[in-house]
Amino acid sequence: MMNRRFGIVLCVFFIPIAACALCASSCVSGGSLSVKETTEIIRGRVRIYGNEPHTYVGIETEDTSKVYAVSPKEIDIVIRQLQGHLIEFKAVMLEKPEGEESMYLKDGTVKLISWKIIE
Amino acid sequence: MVMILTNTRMRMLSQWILFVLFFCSLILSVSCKINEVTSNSGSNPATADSSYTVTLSGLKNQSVYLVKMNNSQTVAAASATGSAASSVLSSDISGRTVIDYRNLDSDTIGENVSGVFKVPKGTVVRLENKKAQEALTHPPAASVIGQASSRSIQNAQSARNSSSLQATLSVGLSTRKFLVAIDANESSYVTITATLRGSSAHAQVWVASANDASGSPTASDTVTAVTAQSIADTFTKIYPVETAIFGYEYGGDPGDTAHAGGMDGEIPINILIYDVDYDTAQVSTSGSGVVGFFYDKDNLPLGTSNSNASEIFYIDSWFTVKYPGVVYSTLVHEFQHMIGYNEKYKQKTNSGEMSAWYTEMLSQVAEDMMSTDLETWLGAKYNVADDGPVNNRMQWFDYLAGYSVAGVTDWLTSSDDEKQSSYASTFAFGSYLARNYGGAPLIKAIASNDSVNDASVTAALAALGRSEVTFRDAFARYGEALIYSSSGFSDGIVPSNYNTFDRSASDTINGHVYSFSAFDIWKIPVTYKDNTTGIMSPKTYPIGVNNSIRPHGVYLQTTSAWKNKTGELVITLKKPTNPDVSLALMIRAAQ
Repeated sequence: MMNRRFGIVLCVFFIPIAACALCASSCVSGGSLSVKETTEIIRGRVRIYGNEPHTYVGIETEDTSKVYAVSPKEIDIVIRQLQGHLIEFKAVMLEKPEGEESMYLKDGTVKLISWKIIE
Repeated sequence: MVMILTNTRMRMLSQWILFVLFFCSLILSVSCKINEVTSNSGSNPATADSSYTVTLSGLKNQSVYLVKMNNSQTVAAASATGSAASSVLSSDISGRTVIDYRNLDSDTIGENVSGVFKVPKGTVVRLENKKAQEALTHPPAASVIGQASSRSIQNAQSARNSSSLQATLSVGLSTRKFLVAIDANESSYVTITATLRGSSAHAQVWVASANDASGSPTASDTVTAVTAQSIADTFTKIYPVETAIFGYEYGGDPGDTAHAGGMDGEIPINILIYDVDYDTAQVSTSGSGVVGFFYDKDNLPLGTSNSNASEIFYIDSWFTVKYPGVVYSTLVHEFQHMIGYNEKYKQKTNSGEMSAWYTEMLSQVAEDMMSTDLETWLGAKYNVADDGPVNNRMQWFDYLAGYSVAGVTDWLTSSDDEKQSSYASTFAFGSYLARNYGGAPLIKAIASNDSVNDASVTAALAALGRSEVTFRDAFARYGEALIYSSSGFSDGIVPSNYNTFDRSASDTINGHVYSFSAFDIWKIPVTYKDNTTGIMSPKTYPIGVNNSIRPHGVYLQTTSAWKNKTGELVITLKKPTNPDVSLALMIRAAQ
């Protein structure tokens, strides 16, 4: 009887929860479980790096100690418009560069989730 | 019930106390403000939120400009930049006259603009590109580069990987394959074949088959062997002069035998001439397009990110035919990018990330510094007025106040106009530094130190013995250069303690004389599209128009009531509430 009840509890609660947890984990990491990721709040400024015509967007932290490349690529044009502001970014810190081998700054890449202009 | 009464009384009491406190603070605030205004009448500096009055006496047919400077990395909101609130003009034409600028601001949209502003002919609108590109950044770590380089040598079948093979190259016969993007968006890459048409000690010039005139030009973008050889020869003259200031490309340093030849193992760099972005039809109509570029992805191994695994830069075929003088200057520009990439990233791995404004500033300074050399070497093929950076960039600097569109530490890319303004502002600041803070030795110190961006400028100033001056200090006086020039003084001489573009700098390094020629920002020559000529000066904004100011940006204001004045002018200024914004009133002789 106990085993049957336990089985029902397992089916009704535990399995869906476990499934949700797995899905959430998969979504956060962009579908790649091989990359370890953490979400952080970064205060910094948008900077444009490199030379024309191949400039790229980065975020320099407020204390200027770190510079992160920004992903996904599609957001590049939007972020460029934020130059000249202090911004609070919510971002997933990617442990290793995303995409092509050359696409990173020395402190790595962040995947932006949201941001708000501080000043 | 009692409790409720008690609470109500307490609430009323606390509200009354708050009201009394508020009232007292209001009185204190107002009296402080009145005291500030009173105590600062005259020419004393003011404190926060105050106004102060400046008396300009002894004016002799002179004009007054309000110069605002934002000495920060953040946009200064318009409302926080201060303003000229009111002024009184005395001893003028008909006795004492009182002028309220709030009634006069609509009279002008800019002092040097009357009627319809004519678009400069601008022999070429010098964009390096027109669209934002995908982010491609650093090379892998040095150890990976080494491995990659070896692989590329093994894989490359085009015989470009050792000096022994290099010797087998034959001008007019040798061909090579290169990967190029089919458009500005880099939608895809294709492999094209190019023939070696020019060769010298430091350059191999390859011309794409589609643009190869093979001796006689047949279209607007076919390049002759004579032109290709001229480019190769000129680059070899450029090489020692530019490397003495900026350093070497990867594999170019004679002392670094371990990496001799760099990615491809060849001593000469490669220059590929082709139809960049495949847009000749469009560019030949608009005159706007990419003249040339250096792309850091070529420092990656073959097979990665469309790399050509070589020390290479690219030049557009149509511009080569139509504006060869501009192309010679572009060789200097792109070579600096190539050198900077090596010196700041590969050799000094802790120097930080180069902002676009910084590397573009240095490339334009290199053009500026070598324009006299190019004129000497090329004769009629290079005209410094048309092909050099000063007129090209400063026209845009003045044109529709490009100096205010982009700040010095900005790099705006939303439109061609924004990009032009970014080029103009960074060029102007670099040329200002060179002419006022140390010429070629300063540029050499900037290029060779372990820092990048504003820290690199500060470190270079310190290295030249000017540790009392930082980037911030140098920028704080940048506004002077926008106002003071020889035409702004009755005797035609800018006092030595004023900063100005109108000052030359000349230094000898390794036996070569490096010169920065003085120029008058108030007399930039221009040829309009209707072939008429004219002179440009910085466009100014009306006193009543207070826009936001970009990071390390400048904003110039005046009004017709401040122009050509004799006697005494009393101006009341409202101090900026942004602590990074400064105001200055500057005076120059009327035009």
